[in-house]
Amino acid sequence: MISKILLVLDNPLYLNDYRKVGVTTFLFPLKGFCVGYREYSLDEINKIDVSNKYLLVNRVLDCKDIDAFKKIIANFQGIKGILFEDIGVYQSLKNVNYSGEMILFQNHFNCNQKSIDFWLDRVNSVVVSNELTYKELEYIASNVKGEIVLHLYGYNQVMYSRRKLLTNFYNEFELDKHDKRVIEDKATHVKFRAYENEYGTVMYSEKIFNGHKLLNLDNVKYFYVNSTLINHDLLMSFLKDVNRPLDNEEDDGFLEKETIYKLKER
Amino acid sequence: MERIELLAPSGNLERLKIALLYGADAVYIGGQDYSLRANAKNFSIDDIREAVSFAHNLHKRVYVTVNIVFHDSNLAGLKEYMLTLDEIGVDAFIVSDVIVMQLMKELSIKAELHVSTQASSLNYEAVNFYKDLGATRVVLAREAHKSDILRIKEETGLELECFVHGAMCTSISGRCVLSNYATLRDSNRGGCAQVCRFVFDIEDSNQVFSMTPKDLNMVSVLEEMIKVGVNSFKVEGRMRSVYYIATVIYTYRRLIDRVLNHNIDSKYTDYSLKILNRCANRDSVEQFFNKIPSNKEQYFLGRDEESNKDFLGIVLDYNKDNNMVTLEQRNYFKTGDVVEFFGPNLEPTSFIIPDELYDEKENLIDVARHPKMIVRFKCPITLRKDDMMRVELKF
Repeated sequence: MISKILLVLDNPLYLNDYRKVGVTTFLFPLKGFCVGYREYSLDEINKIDVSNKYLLVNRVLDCKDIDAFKKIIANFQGIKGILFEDIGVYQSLKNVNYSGEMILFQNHFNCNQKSIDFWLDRVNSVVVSNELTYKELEYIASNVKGEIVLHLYGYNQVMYSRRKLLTNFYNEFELDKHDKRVIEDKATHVKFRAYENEYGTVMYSEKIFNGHKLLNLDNVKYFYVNSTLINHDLLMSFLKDVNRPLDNEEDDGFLEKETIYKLKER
Repeated sequence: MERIELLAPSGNLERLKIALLYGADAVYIGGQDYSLRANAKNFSIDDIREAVSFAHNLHKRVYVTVNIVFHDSNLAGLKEYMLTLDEIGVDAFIVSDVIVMQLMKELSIKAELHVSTQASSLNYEAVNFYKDLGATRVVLAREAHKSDILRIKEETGLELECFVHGAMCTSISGRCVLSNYATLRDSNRGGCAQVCRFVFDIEDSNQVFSMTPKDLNMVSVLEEMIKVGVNSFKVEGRMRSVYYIATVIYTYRRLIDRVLNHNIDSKYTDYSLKILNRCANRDSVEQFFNKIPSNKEQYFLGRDEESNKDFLGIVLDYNKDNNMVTLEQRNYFKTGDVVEFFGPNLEPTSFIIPDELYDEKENLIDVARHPKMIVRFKCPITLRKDDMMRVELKF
């Protein structure tokens, strides 16, 4: 199982720890094309000695961004594939007959088997939404025509804004700036973890998603682990024993909680 | 110059008719399933049939949102629904999930495919992808800068639709499930609880953290929007009132016509801005068209809210023989009040409520105080059904 983990490397200093427990495949958020992650330049990525490297492009890209992305495709040497949010990235890669793997990673989308199959005709794999129940994920995994990627561990990205929400707040009140802060709704006390860079702001979930229940599902190419913002010891304890009981900082997201959308359903 | 369309939201048949009568070229509506306003009344199949008939008789168009992000359980009945909409003759489906795009092709749906803003299209390669799938129009992300719009138009040639007015999401549309986490309501299936409008504590500060954006208002850049290639000006607000719809559509209709006729000036633009801001009860500003918004485009402590009691009544009937108007009251007014009428064919016209004011039973009254009460009085201005009466707006 551990060989199927695709791990976002938040801190290169921990690389050997991950390798020691058997992680061999790493995901590197590409500098200038990501929000909500520690980013890496291509030079930095080239210097990191791991065999299976994937790039992450998770921003919604404007025209200048897509032009810039197209210019560097030829430089993706030693890269196994690209995970991306923006459909323009797929179109750009397709237009140059990109030979690496393409994995669609649109947060909150790809919630049904037929839409995933549509994409599996075009890309190598699809990251399935993490706002689904276990039964929904089980159905998808059992019926898709190819291999999928499932979230396994990490804070979930809950919202992505092009606004610099922390900067705007600190500017409004003329306070010292921070790029990572926890916010808490005054009424419900639900918390989110804001993470900002020059391209916008991501809100992460309050709890770390622990999806070890998903490890038995079929047709999984990778299990996605996001080490962003996570205490290293806690992550290592999970990687060493994925079936250990959930920590207080963890939950199982929506696996056993169905969302509603018409109020009369409640 | 390509055709410029004013596209209005409609949450029910009454609002749809008002939107079209007050100047919209097209309306977008949601059925009772598969639409991102799951808790609005929305349109039954019979309503949609009536809506299409009403619009087509005016040579106008109806678009139906089928723009939720589908879970497998939501797919039941989708094909039949799409075929029914097509048989009714709706002019376009507004779609975000690729499964609906694929089904439109498989089912040989005649209606146009418009890609929803939920798809967050912000570059020409993404738009070309949808063009390859058969889209004739893309609703660009609200985050589009004018240079993006121009480039996308040049590279794709597709019809482009952009929001010009109404509420903004804090997030890039579709890229938000705050509601799922805070309330267990699925935002991408129409259950959004607007968590981005909540107020928050923030770590290491005593100030209140807010991420609420001010509303969108593109009045001052309409001409530029046309120049960079926007074909359809979209107004947000399927859950808004008839008065809001009438006022916003009426105002934008006149602004667009003046821009196209080259007789727009800053005085009229300023007047229009004041009307719109007052009607919305919230500040409205440009957002992403010229720059990335700053703290000035967000709300932090409090809002500058003005009265929302402007809407006084809607005309039900006007008897030209005796100049008697029959009006349904919407807010308090009394004899001697200075009001104004406006309507699809009526510029704002001042009027003083006369002393002889009657209720439904012909009793003489001096105050109309009850919502929806029927009031009658003489008025020399020639009025029509669905004209509206509001407090006189002098700026």
